Amino acid sequence: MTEQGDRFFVLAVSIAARLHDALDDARSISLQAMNAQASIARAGEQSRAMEPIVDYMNGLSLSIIQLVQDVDDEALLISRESLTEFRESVAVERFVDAVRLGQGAKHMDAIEAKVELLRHNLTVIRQGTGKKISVLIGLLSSIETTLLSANIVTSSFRIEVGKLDSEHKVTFESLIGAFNTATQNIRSVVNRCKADLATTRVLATTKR
Amino acid sequence: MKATKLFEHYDHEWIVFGRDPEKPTGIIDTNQYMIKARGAAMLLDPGGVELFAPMLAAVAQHVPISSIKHLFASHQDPDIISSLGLWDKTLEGATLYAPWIWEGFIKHFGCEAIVYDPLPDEGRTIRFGDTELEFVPAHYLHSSGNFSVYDKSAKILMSGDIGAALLPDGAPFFVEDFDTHTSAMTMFHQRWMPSNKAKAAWIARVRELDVDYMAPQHGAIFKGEDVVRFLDWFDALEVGIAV
Repeated sequence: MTEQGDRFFVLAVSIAARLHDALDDARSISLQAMNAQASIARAGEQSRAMEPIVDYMNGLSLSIIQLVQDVDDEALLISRESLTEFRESVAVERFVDAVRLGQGAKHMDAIEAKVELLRHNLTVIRQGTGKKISVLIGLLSSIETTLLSANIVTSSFRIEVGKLDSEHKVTFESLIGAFNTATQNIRSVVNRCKADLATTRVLATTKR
Repeated sequence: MKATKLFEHYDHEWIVFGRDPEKPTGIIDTNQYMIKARGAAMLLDPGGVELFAPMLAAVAQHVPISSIKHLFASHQDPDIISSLGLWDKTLEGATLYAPWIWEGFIKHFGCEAIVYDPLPDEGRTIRFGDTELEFVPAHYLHSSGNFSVYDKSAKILMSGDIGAALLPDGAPFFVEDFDTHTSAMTMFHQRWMPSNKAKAAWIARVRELDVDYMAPQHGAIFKGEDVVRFLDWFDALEVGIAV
């Protein structure tokens, strides 16, 4: 495989693998939010103020799940495109070899034109991969933004939990803890994916 | 890659390509053939992906690429046709004649623009320029779906792996001493060819044909009386021995 195609293929596969864990964490957030809804129902009137916050938390977790799945789909497209790029770049290499070996041959014009066409196709494929990488970065940024919102919601939640009596406080604080752990895990995965993407992009640009 | 003209009569030609000095080490040497007739060209067993570049360069010495409208693959092996995906990017409006049983397999090499014309088990004859090309069944020799090609006007039989010999680099294109040559053929035929019955059927078919040259995909080409010598030698050889 070409260096660039190889890098993007490995990157796409590693992102898909990492996001598998992130998806588990996102589902865990959703589960925590549902648990919180049940606890609110049990706590009765004194926890009513927390209800909209928990609903919002649940909505955020569903958004994260959707975003993670979108990233996974995009990573799959990138891995496929990397294979296409590999095939096309091999073809270009073979045709360039043929032009070198056939210097002075009677009927080389059509082959030289073919090389140009294949090079153009390869450029178009690489541009397509570049666009998909940008989409991937955009999706990862959306996850980050959603996680920031989750932080704010958690802070509000913590304030409301502080107003509860000690019996309910323990239940809700453990929920906040689990929620925090899951969001931190996702943030860490997203940061690693973004760092890998940035490195791969720089390497691909400098090698072109 | 070297090229030698096997036959020429007006615009009807047979050219063999092979003995590529730039061939990567460790891959078996192959003979590729091209028939020209009335401005059209056909490549027979155009070769593996590793030989595509020298083959394309060599072909461009003889014909415009746009004139290659036909390809033939005697069977599915990579040294025969793994270059298909690259020819697919090269040729326009071309047809590949190959055994029907290998269609779904050969297409793994890449076959989007080229039309795959599946050859029935009993073979087929097509008109090509002013000549007729007969796809002669050679099943199990060595592949389970396998054909030779016979050109009635040129009296050339392209025999695929039948008659193949494992020769050192740079060996001559033609058999010079048949008796010595058999030592380079024996193991190949005994090990790669699985069926004495299939062998006998093919020999019977070929004995009916008027053949001046028998052109295999590996090794050297048989001329004149060496063709009959080969048929007699092959007839007497026990094949399918590795059981």
